[in-house]
Amino acid sequence: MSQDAHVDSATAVLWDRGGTKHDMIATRTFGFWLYLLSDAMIVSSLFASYLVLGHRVNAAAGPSAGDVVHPIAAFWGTVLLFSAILAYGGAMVGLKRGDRRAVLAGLGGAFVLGAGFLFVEGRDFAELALHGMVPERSGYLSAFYTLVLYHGAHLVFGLLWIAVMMAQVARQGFTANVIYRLLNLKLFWFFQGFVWIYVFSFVYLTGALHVH
Amino acid sequence: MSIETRDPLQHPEVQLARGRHYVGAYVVSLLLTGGPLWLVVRHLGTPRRLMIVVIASAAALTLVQGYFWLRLDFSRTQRWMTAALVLFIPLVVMTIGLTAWMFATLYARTMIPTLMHAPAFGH
Repeated sequence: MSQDAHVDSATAVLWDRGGTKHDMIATRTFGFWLYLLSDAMIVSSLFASYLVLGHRVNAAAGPSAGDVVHPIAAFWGTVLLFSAILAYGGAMVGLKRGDRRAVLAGLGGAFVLGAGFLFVEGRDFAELALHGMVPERSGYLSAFYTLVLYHGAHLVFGLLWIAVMMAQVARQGFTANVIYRLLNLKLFWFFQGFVWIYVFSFVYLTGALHVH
Repeated sequence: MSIETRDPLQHPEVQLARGRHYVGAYVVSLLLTGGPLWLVVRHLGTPRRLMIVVIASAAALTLVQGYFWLRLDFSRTQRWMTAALVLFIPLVVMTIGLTAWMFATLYARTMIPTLMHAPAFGH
């Protein structure tokens, strides 16, 4: 390289101060998607813990998966959760048409069905607690509660977010900010279905394979 | 990632929505969860075979929901999201797989004799 190529650090322009024309909506949805994947790493760690603590010695002579999981109740929860996702899909189809009423109806449906899922899950856990199967009973139960309720906590947050977005759609209409938030919420809500596939398959179904 | 539109409703990510795809994925998802549930609850097969069915259905569900609900494909709009997910998968496999491997060997070396012959991750 010749000396003519020397860069004067006092005058060099190292970035474009005017900024580049990024697509605001796509940039924000992609950033949120990366956040969701980092959140999924926590779920992976919880699955790893669940796998390790599934060894019968970690049941501390107490109940193990075969006693704790209720796959049929979990399936009804699955139906409600997938229906909530379908309802949100309906909101997205309404958004594509610019139909505010369809978006609000889809969001409302997703809210009600998501709350239904939480009700089924809450009843299942209340029954476990009534029978003394509480997290502090054993390492296995700690892992079970943490993994399943971590997903449930996301649903609670999702319901709050849906309620906020319903208010924003009703008051502000389809501004760019409202639209990117709806798209991020779509990723969040659909991703909960994605996570639930693994909770249902590898906690409830495989747990039911070990009935005593 | 760099497509400009004046009307945010015309944004490519908004225009991804497909009612038929959503409904189709919903029906298939229920079949792929209900089918294995029926087999497991009725004990129609050995635990090993049922486990293979559960794993296969989870893999199929991942593809169905990933493509038809999350619209993860190689289109210009979605390809970086798909790439991020593909790069994320080895991290998950390593997190869960290496943890399971480490503890399986730990259990094999440290369990009291009566438990040594128990399956490492059974119940």
